[in-house]
Amino acid sequence: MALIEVKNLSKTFKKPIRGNGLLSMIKTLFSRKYENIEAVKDVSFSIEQGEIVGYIGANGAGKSTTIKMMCGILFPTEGEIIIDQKSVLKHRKEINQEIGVVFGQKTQLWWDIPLIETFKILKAIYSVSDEDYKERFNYLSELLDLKSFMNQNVRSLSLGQRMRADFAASLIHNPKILYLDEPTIGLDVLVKDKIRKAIKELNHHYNTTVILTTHDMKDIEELCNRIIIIDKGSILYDGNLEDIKFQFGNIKNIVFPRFEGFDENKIKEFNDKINIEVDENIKLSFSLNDVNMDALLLMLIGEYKINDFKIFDIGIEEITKELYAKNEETKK
Amino acid sequence: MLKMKKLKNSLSKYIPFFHAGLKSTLAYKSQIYGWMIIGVIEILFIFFLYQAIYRNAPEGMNSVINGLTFYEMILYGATSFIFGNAISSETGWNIYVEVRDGTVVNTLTKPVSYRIRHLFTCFGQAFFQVFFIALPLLVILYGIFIGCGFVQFEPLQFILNIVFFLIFLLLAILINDSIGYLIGMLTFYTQHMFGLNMFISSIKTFLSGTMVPLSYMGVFGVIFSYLPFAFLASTPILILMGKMELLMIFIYLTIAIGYLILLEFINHLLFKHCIKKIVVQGG
Repeated sequence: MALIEVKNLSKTFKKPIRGNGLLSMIKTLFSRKYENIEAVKDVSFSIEQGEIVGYIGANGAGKSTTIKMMCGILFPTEGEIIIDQKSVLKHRKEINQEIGVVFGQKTQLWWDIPLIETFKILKAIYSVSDEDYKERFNYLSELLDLKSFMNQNVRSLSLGQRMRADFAASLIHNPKILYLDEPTIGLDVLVKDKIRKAIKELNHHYNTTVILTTHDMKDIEELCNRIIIIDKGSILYDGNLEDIKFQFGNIKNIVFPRFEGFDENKIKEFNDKINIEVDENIKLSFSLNDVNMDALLLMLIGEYKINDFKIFDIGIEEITKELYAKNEETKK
Repeated sequence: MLKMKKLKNSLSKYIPFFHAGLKSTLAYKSQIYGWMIIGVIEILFIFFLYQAIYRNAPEGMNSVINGLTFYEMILYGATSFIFGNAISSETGWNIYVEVRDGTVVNTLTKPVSYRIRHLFTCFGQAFFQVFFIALPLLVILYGIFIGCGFVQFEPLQFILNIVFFLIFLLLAILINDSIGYLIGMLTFYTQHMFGLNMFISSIKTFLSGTMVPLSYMGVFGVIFSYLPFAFLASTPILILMGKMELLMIFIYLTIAIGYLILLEFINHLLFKHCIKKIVVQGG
C-alpha cells in the first residue's frame, strides 16, 4: 500500500472578475461577477515511503495548490487524498503529526523570539520526547549548521539562515512525509547546496518521503528519481527522470566558447538535425538517434581546433519546455 | 483520572504558545514606554475635561454627576485606561497577519487547535499586561486616591470588590479575545483588517464605557450595560469602585458567561466555514 494516494483530485477557485478603471471598480461595489478557475484537474498519483518526488511546473500550474491540499490546508473540490491509509480531510490533526512542511516564502518560525524557542515550541506541539528531541536537535543543528545563530531572534536572521532553520524546524518531530514548496527560492548557491545535501542525508537517515516543488531544476536533477510534471492543473508526465530523458531521444549538448570564423553552415552540412544556439557560447543540441557524436567531435576538433568544450545531457528544464510546447500543440 | 491526564497532556501542547505570547510582548519594550506616556497624557486630558464639567455643575467640584463625584470620575477614567491595556488582545491582528502573508498555512499544518493556540498566546500577553503593568499601576492609583482621601471604601467590601473585579477581569480578557478572534476570522473573507478594526474599536470604545461612563448615556446606557462590550470596561470598573449591588454582580456574571459561550460557539462555526473557503495569499 502506497504511503500517499491522490485520487482524482480537483480544485476550483471562485475568483471575482474585476474590470479596469474607476468606473468598473465602483460597479463591483454593487454587483460582482465571478469566474471559476480550475487550479487542479483530475490529478491522481501515489507515492511510496522513502521516495523523493519532484513536483514541477510553471507558475500557476497547480503545484502549490496540490501540496496544500495534500497537507489538508485547502479542501479539494473533488477527489480525495489518503495518507497512511487515512483520509486527509477526515483526520487532518492526526496526519499533521506525520507531516513536515516548508513553504519557501512563508516562515513557520516565531518572528519575535530566539530561534531555539521555536524548536522548544515545536517539541511541545508534536509531543517529542526529551531523548528524541535531543538526538534530532543535535543532528539537525550539525547538518544545517545552525548552532551559531540558535540564540538570535528570528527577525534578525538572514534569508539563508532562516531557510535552514525552517527546514530543521519541519523535521524536529521526524515526520514520515516532508513537503517542500520551493525550499531553495531566493537562496545563494552555497545555501542551496547545503539544503540539497541535507534533504539527501535525511532521506537516507530517516527514510523520509520527500515531495518537492521547485523552479530550480538543479534541485530536481540532484535529488529526485521521480518527477511529476504539471501544466494548467493536469499531469503531463509522471515517472522516472532517466526515462523521460530517454524518451526525449537521448539528447546531448556540446558547448564551446564562441570564436571568429565559426560557420553554422558547415555544421548544418555535416548534419542538419543539429540545433545551433549562438550567444557568448555556441551550443549544439542533437539526438544520438540522428547524429553520430564521435564523428561530430572529430570534425569540431579537426576543423575548428576546439579543445575546450563541455558535453552534457538534456536538462529537465529543456524537457519541461518541450513537454509544455507539445501540450500546447495538442490543444491546438 | 485517565481523562484528567489526557487533558493535561493535550493542554501542555499549548504552554509554549503562552510563553511565546509573553515573550513577544516583552520583545517590544518601547511599546510599553509609549503606552505609559500616552496614559499620562490621557489621564491629564480626562482630569482637565471633567474639571471643567464639574466646575460648571450646580454644586461645583462637590457635585455628583450620574452617580460619580469628580475624584471618582478621574479614578474611573484612569482605571478604564489601565484596564483597556490589561485586556488588550492581539489575536485578531495575528490572524489577519497570517491570512495576509499566507503564513496561516504553517499554523494549519500543526496538530493543534487553531482557537486554543490563539487563546494561549493571548493568555501569555495578558499575563504580562495584568501582573506587570495593570495590577501594580492600579495598586498605586487606588493607594494614592484612598491615601489622600479622594475616595473611601469599607475595607471588607473593598476586598470583595477586588475579588469580583479579578473574576470580571478574566472574563473581559476572554470576551475581548473572542471578539478579536471573530474579527480575525472575518479577515479570511475580507482579506483586510483596517476597516474592520476601526469599526470594532470605535464600537468597543463607545459601548464599553471607556470613553464616557455608560451612566452618562441615560436609558441607552442601561441597554448598553447588557451588551458584551460593557464587560470590557464599565461593569468591572464599577464593581471595583463599589458602585454595583451584589445581586447585579451575579446577574452580570451570568450574562458575561452566556456571551462568552455564545461568542465561542459562533467562532467555532465560523472557523469550520473559513477552513473550507480558505485561499492562501501569495501562492
